[in-house]
Amino acid sequence: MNKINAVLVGNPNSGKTTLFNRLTGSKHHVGNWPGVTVDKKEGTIVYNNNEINLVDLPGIYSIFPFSIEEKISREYILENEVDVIINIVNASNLERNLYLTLQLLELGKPVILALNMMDSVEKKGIEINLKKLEEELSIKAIPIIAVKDVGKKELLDSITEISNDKTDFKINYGEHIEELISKYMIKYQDYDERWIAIKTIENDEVIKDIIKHDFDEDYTNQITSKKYDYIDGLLEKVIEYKKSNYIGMTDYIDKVTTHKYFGIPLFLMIMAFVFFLTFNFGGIFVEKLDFLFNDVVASFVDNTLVKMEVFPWLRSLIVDGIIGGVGGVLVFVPTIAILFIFITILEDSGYMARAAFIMDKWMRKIGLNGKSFIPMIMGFGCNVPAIMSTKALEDENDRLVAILINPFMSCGARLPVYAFLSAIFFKGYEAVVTFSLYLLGVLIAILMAFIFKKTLFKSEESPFIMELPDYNIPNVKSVSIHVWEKVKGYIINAGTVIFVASVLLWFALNYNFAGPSEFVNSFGAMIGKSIAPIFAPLGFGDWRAALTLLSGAIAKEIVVANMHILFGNTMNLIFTPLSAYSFMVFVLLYVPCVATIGTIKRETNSWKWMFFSIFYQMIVAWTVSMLIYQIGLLIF
Amino acid sequence: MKTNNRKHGRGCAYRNNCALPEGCVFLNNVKENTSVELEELCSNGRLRRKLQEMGLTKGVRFTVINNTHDGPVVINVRGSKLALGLGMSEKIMVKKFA
Repeated sequence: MNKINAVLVGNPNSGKTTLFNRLTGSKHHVGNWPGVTVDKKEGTIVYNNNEINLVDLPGIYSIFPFSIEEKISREYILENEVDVIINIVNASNLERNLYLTLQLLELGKPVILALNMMDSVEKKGIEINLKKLEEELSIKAIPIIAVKDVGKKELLDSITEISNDKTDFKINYGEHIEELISKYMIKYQDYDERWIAIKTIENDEVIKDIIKHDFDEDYTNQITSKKYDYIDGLLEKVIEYKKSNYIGMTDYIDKVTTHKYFGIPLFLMIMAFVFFLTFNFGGIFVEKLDFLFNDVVASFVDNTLVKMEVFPWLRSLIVDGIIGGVGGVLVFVPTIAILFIFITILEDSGYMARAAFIMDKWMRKIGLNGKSFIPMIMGFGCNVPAIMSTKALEDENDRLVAILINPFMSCGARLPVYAFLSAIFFKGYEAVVTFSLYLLGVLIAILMAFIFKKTLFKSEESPFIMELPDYNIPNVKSVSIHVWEKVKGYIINAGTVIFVASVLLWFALNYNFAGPSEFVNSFGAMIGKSIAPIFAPLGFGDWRAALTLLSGAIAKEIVVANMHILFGNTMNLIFTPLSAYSFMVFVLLYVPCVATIGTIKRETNSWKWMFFSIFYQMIVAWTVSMLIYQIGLLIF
Repeated sequence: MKTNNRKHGRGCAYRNNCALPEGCVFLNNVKENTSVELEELCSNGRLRRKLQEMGLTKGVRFTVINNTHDGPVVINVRGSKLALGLGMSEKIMVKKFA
């Protein structure tokens, strides 16, 4: 079989991920690029006796290494045996997308152009002369519609037919620069000589290590301009506009979403809508599943085990420990799925970029910029990808602040805790109570960002430049793939981490050094009692609450699992509504789960910041909960 | 004290809004639906490069399509919509054209 190494390169919003998923099907795996937490997706396609190994590079605008993503992409293309670069472009916006294409062509490696979104090209009344485009760029151009699998076969055909001949594509940069290029064309490894020369003149940071020279910045300007000029000239030859004044849906929607007065209220309405729908709709499933696990399954298993005359301790372990703990977490699967569906839709639709834009002014007031707003919203889903997404922030200080405040954004795993407690203590007002917690998290995040920017991380300039892509009706298949990945993670977590934690907790609660014991004399009680006094001023100095919080540091949903095991139906005896609220506030603010801590370590690449984040969040959580409880006592 | 060079960086000799060349303004002061021509990027190094690569090269013509949020603007340049924060828009010097 013939082996082909192919990479997929393209702008963000060009449909790259969709194409990758459609080409590789389910036969791909997601890993990490060495040293960084950017997803590396790789898959194999077997086609006509060829084995195509396809690597999905991050979405980039340029191969100049501004961001980690661009750096990875560039290094991968330069340092690996790449047989063919598949450059996917949004065909309805060739002017922007072809800039990357020209950079790729200059690398001197074989490139295939995949012109995506041909349907919207037609809708916009644009006609592309493909033959002419291929001739001018001397590469193959394949029209595709990734979401509809159109052009898939043609694309695969052209991948397998690619020859290794270098293209003779060249842009004429004008007499002076061409002269410089010919002067600096040097042989270095197997890089393209002309490419080396151009990069040298552009004062490229990486090439600078090879050739030391400091050229006038104006040359870079000229080279960039020439590329865009070339594109202008090219498009004049290959594109014809059939409709002269096309105004798409995007422009109409933007009039509202980025409106001076309506923009922000609309955003808040969307978030409230997402929130209440998640809560009310998810609540229906929670009740049904709770009944299923705690009444149907638990009593069935219990009865069966009694009939089988299993040891009572084993019966208790299985029914109280495992079904109670793991089941208590699994009932929230639908709620979490609904939340992720909404967050994914917001991301995929293109709305997130608008939210960043309208929030820029407000984010600047706390010293960040609009772009830092996106990880905050994503944090409502899960803090791990949210913290990873801070890579899009150019300023290192901004990025650290964004990472440190992100855990205050209440993630999906904390929702079960609110749902569970507010159903007991705030019946009828569950959604309002929970909403107040989300809001509190946001306020604390903003406050902390403000303090950090004023003290630890002063920086003046924080650039905010972001493309506002055309709105896009999220594709059912893409959204479901994404949501399923997240939900699967949650379920696997329930089956592994939560399972083990539940079993351990059960043992800790039923044994001590002397052997089997009562709850109150167990290991667990000893541990709980030793830390409980810390929480007394917060209103929950009970050892069981303390033990729950301790184990909740592994994953927040464990708190619910443990409460099932520890309290059963006796919550009312230990908590008052006020102390329950104070407890929820503590759960909201104290250390994120181990997965988040690990991500903070990797993203900051520093133990110091990891420990700092754990420590300061404990202090914030304790202080805020204490204030709420103590002030609450005075009022109520 | 903030020095002017730091604020506007290399390649720009203009202080805030005074002493701008005739007909020039910074992008954050341009009204909606106005077409402008890029005169100068008052930013240095990587940021300047980033703006250029996104299509904001000297002399390019583009339209401001949203400027109602006290600083951040949306422009339509080279067929795509770009949102630029205040930190960016106040460093992009443009010239109006009819």
